[in-house]
Amino acid sequence: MKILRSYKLFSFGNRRHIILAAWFAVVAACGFTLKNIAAFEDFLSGFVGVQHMVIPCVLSCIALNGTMLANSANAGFGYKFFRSLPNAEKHFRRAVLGGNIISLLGTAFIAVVGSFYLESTLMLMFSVVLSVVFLSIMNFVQYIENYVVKLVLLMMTIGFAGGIVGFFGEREFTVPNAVVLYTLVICAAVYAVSLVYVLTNSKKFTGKEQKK
Amino acid sequence: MEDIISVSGLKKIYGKFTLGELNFGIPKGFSTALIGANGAGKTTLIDLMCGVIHASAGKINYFGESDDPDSPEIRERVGYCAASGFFPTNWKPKNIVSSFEIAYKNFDREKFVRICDELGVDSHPAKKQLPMYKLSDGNRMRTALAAVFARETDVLILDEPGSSLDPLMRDRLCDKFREYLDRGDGEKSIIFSTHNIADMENATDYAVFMDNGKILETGFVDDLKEKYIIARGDPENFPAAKELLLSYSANSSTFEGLAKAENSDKLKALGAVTERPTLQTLSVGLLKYAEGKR
Repeated sequence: MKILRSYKLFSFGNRRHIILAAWFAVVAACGFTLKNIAAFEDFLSGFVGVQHMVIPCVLSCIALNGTMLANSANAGFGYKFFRSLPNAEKHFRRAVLGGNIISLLGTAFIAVVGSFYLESTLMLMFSVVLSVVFLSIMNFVQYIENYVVKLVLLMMTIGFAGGIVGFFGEREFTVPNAVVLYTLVICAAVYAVSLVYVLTNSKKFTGKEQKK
Repeated sequence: MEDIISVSGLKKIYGKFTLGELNFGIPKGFSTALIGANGAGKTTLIDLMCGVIHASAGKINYFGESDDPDSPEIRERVGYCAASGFFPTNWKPKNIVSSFEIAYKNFDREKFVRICDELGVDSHPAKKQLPMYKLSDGNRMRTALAAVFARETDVLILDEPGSSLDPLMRDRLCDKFREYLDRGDGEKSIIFSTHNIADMENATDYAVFMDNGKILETGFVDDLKEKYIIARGDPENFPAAKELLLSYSANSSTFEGLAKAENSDKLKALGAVTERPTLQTLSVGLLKYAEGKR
């Protein structure tokens, strides 16, 4: 409950969650149509494939949780309010954790729903791995004050990931299960490190480390 | 006299700018104005007091109890409002209400709506709500002030609260200050920075003058008005009077300047007319003096 309240504190005024929920509904509906009705099969399978690549990016933005505004003095709005709150650091830590939980739940959602209609397990795995990789990146860049750098990093990663998915997708590449498993384990480990990093360095949010 | 906030050895280094080292106290139960030119360090000092930034050295003591600006108990008792862009630009008043209810134990929703009405806020929870970015600077400040006044606090620390307000609203803000102090019966205090010295004079009991990161002068306004005088005279007497003036302006028909009250008789002997300064003339005189000394 505390996590949710703190998450809300940093997320007021943005409609990211409504957009994401609508997005999920559309993807799920397309998947359902693809599986059961199979009209416009090529279009739908392409659409669903692209969405499985895009959704992780959106989820990672949720993990960032409005801190582009809240954390960044460069953005110029709101950060003084957030930093001056009682228990500001605790709220921030909980909010980041809340963003991560919501993003992981979203990832679980695309994994479960996708498993019903995606024929390629590889595509599904990529989607999950991408999500975890993006989440890790967002956690690592949380304290970079310049939000433009954050955006550029995110876009570069999206481009890179898009290229990999396209490369494997075109060649109908198959990967041994063990490789998929190892990849998932490594990504999960990196993600865990990123989460520990972002939570244990929350002093950076309050500017305490600017001491000279 | 008890201090609501006392500062000792406070220093903040920002690249080329250094605030401090500062040592002073702000008396409890009064309204204190931080006065200084742009870049004097007023906002930095306020940000340090409110825990937005942290000091490079020294400490700030709150209520004679704690030196920790991050203490949740202290922050509950401090009402802070930044000069501009205090809230995220996409926030509406309902978001401010919800966030204050989450963050503070002592926020009163009804009081917020009532103060929004008193301050003439166009967009508030009982009316059509607009996000901050669609509001004028004045409306944004009024909304932020309403939110701060709607909390039960022991000290208000406000950065340029009057700058974006029209003269009528500045007058109403002075009334709100008096009302807040009266309600506190000597227990509540206000600290604010301002450039609109003339308009905020009615709301100022104590003044802290700052220049280039240092404290130039502090004191109760009435005492400072006894300590300094404004002298005016004919230009032929200016060369002799100049030596007694801290700062001055002169032209072909007259001269005017700030001097210590102890020099009043000497200036009168030179044919100058002396008078008690207003806070505005005192501020200009002191800041000019500081500029000349740099």
